[in-house]
Amino acid sequence: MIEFLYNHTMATFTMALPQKKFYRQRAHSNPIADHCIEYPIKPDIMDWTVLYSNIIPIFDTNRSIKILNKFVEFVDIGCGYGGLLVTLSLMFPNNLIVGMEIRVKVSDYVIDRIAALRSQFPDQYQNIACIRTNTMKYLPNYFYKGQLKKMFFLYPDPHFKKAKHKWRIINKSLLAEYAYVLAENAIVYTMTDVKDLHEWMVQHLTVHPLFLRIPIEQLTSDPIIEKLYESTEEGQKVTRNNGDKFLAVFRRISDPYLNSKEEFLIT
Amino acid sequence: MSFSIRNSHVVLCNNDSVLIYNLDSQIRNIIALPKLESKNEIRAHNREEIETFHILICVEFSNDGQYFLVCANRKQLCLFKTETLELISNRKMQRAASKVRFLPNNDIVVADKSGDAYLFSTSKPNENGQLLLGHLSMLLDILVTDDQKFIISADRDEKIRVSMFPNSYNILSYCLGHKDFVTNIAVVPHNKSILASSGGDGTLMFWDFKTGKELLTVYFHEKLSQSDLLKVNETLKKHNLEEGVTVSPVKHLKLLQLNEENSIILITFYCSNAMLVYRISAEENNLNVKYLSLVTLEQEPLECQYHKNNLWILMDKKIEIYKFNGETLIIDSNLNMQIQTLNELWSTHYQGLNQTLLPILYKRKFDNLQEYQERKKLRLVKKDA
Repeated sequence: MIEFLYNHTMATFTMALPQKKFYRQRAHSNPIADHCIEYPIKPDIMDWTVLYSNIIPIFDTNRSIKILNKFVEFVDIGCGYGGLLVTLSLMFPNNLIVGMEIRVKVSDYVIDRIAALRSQFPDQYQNIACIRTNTMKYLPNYFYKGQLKKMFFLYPDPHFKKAKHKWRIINKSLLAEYAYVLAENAIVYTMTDVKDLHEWMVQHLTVHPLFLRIPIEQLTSDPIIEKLYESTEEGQKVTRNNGDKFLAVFRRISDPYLNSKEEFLIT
Repeated sequence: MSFSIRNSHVVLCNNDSVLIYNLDSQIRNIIALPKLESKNEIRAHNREEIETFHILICVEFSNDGQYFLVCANRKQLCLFKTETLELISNRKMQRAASKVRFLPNNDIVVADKSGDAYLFSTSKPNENGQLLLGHLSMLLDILVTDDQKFIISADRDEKIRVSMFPNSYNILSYCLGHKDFVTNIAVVPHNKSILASSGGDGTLMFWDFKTGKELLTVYFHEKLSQSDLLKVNETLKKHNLEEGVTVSPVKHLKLLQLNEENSIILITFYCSNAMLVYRISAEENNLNVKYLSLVTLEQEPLECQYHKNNLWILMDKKIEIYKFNGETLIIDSNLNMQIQTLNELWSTHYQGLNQTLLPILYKRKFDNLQEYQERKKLRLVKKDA
């Protein structure tokens, strides 16, 4: 199936960008249901070379597989139609960036979009890719401990109903998993147009001992911040509707419990 | 149904009554479980297989034998004092539990079917459970290591998570490699840095759990009979799971220390009377697992436990005790004579409550990918033409 699409697209000289009308899908997905998702059993067997196919792989003699010479370090969780990925690609040409999206059609749109961009600009967009997966379940299947430097949660599904709050992408238990794949000092960006969700995310991240909020004034030197407002499709929609946008940025810190124990041992 | 033995006490539990039997004095006590005080009535679930899982009943003694717990009546957790049979606490859990264990300090850790793990204090028996961690998948087993530094949880996807304890928000590692749900985890008793695990993929795996490194995988599936597998598939079919399975799922995984270098590993299975016995010898960097025997029991084991180096097996009809003759497992007829009264009590008490976790272990997957890809293919072909 995939094979066919591939051949089809390779046949044309340069590919046209995919048309969104063919890829529309309702905004909600049940993250707890048993979706048919193919995922690696463990990060060791994840083949990243397929996603970044123009980057020349090296051969890992220990595992007898082809690998890339660097790790994916930025992840856009729920990357939607891929606006942020495309923006980040040019800002960080030397970093590998992946978008993860659970919705079938939306992730397929991003995959087709990246393929089209690569064919139109052969030297660019080689560092971004999109995977259809459920990050609430499978993040540790893709990434090693402390592998990630930046993680983005932009306009996540607000799941308004109280009964569905457990489906929200940020909660106490999931933050432990995010902290696991994030390196110390890695940055988590959250943005939403829903005030209630913003407060929810800030509250959970603030309470979690492995995250510390970065004050707004310290963010001015980060070139990513301004891009967060307009690069995503959701962000542009909110602008059109004159909506608010709430930003909160956090740093992954070391475990204060372990630190306090060490201090105790020293004194 | 469940049972537990510590010192000279045996506690047996079935539906809503608990039998406490003293092996020495042969004194027996039967206590009825208290009603769960809850504002909201707990409604029955409309899916039968989930309902049977809800009423999962479990009894266990604390390591020092001072307390025993009864996890019953769906979301109820009762704690009793062994000597006086005094009810210390009668607490409500957030969700139906899938595994309950005592910690070395007598606190209780509960893993539930929504994927969360809670800590219930024994010294503060009126306090509610405190959320320790959560998976986005049903938890099937949980343990806190003897040094109380780590908490290890296993789920219905294929994950084993190792978190720090009590700072359980800090994940130390994942032990990834199983290809199906993980029903059982256990620390190797003579080498406490190694974790053993098994579940639905026909393997027994060993891990350096602090790093998540896979040490050894043992395939045992070909040792089991095809007719047992057939029984698994028939049971699943009864519960509308049409997709057959090719491996018998593990029910119990029990490890017993033989001496300083060796432990015995015992595995039982759903829908099977077979029990596989292995020996693990683990020295530095040298892990060796040897297959010893297959023991055929009279019935499928409901629960099994070690007690004073003997193996006690609870079945529908009776409890049977096995002993080790060297490395061979044989029926201990002496001890079995001694528990005759207990067995009679068990058979009169037993109400034929047939609960099995089996159907909910397997997933009902829905595929929305293939349909989409086919439609897309059609669209693209049309465009080309």
